[in-house]
Amino acid sequence: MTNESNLPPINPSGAADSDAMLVERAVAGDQVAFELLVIKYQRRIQRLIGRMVRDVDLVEDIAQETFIRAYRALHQFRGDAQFYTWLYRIAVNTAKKFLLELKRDSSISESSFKLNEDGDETSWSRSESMSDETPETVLAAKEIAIVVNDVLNTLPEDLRQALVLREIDGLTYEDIAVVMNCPIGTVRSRIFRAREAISVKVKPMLDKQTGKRW
Amino acid sequence: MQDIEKNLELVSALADGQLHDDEYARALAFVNETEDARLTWHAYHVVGDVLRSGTAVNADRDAAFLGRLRRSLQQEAPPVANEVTIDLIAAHEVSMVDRGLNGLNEEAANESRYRWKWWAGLASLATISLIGWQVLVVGSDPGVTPQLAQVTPVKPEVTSSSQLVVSREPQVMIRDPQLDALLAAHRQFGGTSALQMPTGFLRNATFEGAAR
Repeated sequence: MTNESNLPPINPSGAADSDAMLVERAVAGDQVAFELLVIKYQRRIQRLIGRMVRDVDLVEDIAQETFIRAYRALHQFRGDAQFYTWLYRIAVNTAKKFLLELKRDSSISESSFKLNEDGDETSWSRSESMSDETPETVLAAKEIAIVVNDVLNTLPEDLRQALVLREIDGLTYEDIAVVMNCPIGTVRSRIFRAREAISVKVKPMLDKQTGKRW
Repeated sequence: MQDIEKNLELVSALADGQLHDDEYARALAFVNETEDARLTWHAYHVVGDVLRSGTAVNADRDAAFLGRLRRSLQQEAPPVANEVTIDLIAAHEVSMVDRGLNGLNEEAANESRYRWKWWAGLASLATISLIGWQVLVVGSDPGVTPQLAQVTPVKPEVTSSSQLVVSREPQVMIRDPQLDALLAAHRQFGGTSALQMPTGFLRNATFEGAAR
């Protein structure tokens, strides 16, 4: 388990290039490329919206609308900013619009809202949970975290270090190769093996919802 | 088996943005074709999120979220179509400009509105011209007097000789000789007006009695 102060930049190096390429593919008509971006960012976007809205159903609706708007405007993304920065602005604007519309509807309780103008995702309080989170979902999330950290601690040192340098410190493969004094191909292989070792344990926990297609 | 592992390594590198050219195309093709590859992509990112945040990540609704979004996106036009639409609109605009430059007039959508305004302006101009022409014609012919807004003087009719006729000429009082004789005979009842002329009616009366 890592410390809050060790949090890396939101987009580690290399991710921006990867996102831009996926956007390019999506604009060219490859919907799976867009779905890969959704899978990558949906939790972060939902967490951001969850800071503004308590109701988990509302959070999901706003997140859905955010991705739909992003899809519609995808051809306007020029790569001047990082994809997540662009998506972040869409999410905040969509959430504000939703809240304004819902505030006009008196049947929606005030407890559904907790609008925070700063929109700073990093200031999200971990003690806060969304109102519709069940004990089961909270437990499932904790189980995933425990498994990830347990498997990470059992990995050989070179695999563990490569993954930590990549995921937590946000270094590029080139930088990791310099730090670990090994070829870039070895870095790639070590990171993959570390991920695979963890995901083999995590996948069954993610795949609990039968009938849902990825 | 080894191929699958190689491909999964490509997926891992794709998540880090480290693929280019052939490997990038192969990785995307693999993700496109294999549902398990997409689950792997999801798992890699959940692992990354957990490591970065150092806390629990709720991922049990991710598949349902994506499924719902996928259904919504099916109703959307692909983003590439938007660009095509924009290109088509731009091409149409360019062709419209070309036609304008070539002098081929094509009726605009709001043409009828401007046509109506043109006719109203023409009617106004005709009315003003007509009035102006009348003024000019009447003003240049001294024999013809303008008829409009002219008040015809009405002569007061004299029905009886006893009435006074006032005119701009030196006043001539038409007097009734019988009345004059009557007034002379009864001078004490007759008065004079401020103009020292008999008024024709009793102005005041005094009574001379023996007691005075």
